[in-house]
Amino acid sequence: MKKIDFCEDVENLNIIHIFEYYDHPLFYIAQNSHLDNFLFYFIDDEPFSTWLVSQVSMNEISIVRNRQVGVKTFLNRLFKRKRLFKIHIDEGKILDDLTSVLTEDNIDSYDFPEDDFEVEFDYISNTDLQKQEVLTSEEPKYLKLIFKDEDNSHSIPASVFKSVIANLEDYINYTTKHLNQESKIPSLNLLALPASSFGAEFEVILEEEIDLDQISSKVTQSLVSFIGELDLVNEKELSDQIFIEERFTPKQVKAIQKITEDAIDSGYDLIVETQDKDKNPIASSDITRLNRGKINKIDTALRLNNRHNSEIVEIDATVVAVNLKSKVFWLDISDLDDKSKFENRNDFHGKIDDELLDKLKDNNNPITINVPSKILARIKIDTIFDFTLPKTKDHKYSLLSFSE
Amino acid sequence: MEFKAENLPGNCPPNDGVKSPLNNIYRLVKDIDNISETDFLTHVESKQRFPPSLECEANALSFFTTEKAADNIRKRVKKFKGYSIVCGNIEDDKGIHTNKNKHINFWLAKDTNIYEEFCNIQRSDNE
Repeated sequence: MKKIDFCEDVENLNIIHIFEYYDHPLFYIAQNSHLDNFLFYFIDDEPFSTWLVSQVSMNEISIVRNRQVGVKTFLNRLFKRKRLFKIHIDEGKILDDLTSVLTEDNIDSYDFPEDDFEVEFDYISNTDLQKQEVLTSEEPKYLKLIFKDEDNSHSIPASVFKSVIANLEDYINYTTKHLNQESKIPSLNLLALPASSFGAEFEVILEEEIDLDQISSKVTQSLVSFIGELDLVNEKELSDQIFIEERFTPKQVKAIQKITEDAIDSGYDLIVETQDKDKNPIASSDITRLNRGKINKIDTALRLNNRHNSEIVEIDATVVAVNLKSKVFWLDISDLDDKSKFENRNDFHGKIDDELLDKLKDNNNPITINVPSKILARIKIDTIFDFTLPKTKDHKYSLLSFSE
Repeated sequence: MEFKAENLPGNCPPNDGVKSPLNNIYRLVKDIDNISETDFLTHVESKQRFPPSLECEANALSFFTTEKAADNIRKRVKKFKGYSIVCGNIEDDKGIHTNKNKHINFWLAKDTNIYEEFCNIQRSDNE
């Protein structure tokens, strides 16, 4: 289950915006020392101080501050994504037993505002908040990629172009799934190559009658805006947009990273441009060899969320093989009801823990492990999340002890 | 001016606080037929906790300059949904206040009971 973790005392958080105030802040944003941002919306103070809380990205705060969304709509958006928690605070301490993520089963509509109001004032900066309209541009029809080397040549190695297209297709796949899990994947059509440095025009298309959410336009638009916004955000903000706001997925941004790396590492600046139905430019953004740091931002943003969890479980298993020299064991778990901790496989292998290995090798008082034999095994599972790698989640297993 | 709240932090009330009469200002009360002093206690007086950075503000009472602003709080926060809005005036010798975005923070002068200032309470039509 998702948890909310302030990493420090809730009272020590640094309040950066207050939008509603009456005797005390009723709706505010606070930041911890890691620059994680949390939204607090007051509910009641009887019997405990009770709040709706969610970790939010700077991008989301800007959307609220710029009055591009009503507060009720925004809270509902967090609720639908299972990001909204109800917390109770007593004497400055959060009552963990009463903390829960809001779901259809425990939501109380009275906890939410009646009206979908927009924020008007920030009591921290003492500023009136002006409404900034969301700029809507024409829906793009075409996507143009321009590869520019120092000679402005009209050619590109086929292998580079092939790799860019493969990664572009990955990007389309991941972005479509992120926008709508049920949608068909738009196809990528390469149009006749126009004269330019080396320009390639594409059409990202879905049959009109099934592209009800304008998926193909959004996929095209998102690529150009993501590369453009890399100039505006720092690594932490980008990381929050990926892992907190879930505006993009790690796979999506890695595909963009590969597209841009392919070009830059082969000596090309890359310009991406959206075009309307008459092939007039709508928007463009670029990554040049001189600002390669933009790509590194993606890597750092992904790395910021890398983590490592450990847990110890006991399972019934059959010993398939043991090699004391290489410290490796193999276990069969086909009879285990819940294999989810073992990637749903029927067998797995891992390292024998050093302490157990010493006991197995002890000539004076050896313990033995028979092959095959049924054992109750105590296994340590290390789960490593590295979002910079193709396989973002990896498990390592250690056999700590066993009994036959 | 000496204040009702003891041990106010430095620069509290803030430099932009003013001493001037306030007419037709609004506050929320729990039970309009049984208004009491407890409806006019600051966050500190009612022994509620507050973020340390807001110690000065926690020693002030909130009012609104429009009935609509007070009503907005009723609509937006569950605690205040059943509350009533009362309207009153405060003379200039009763304390210092700041006024931002229709919200007033009022630091009461010593020996002042704001509840008595609201004796001539008007029931809000907006209930």
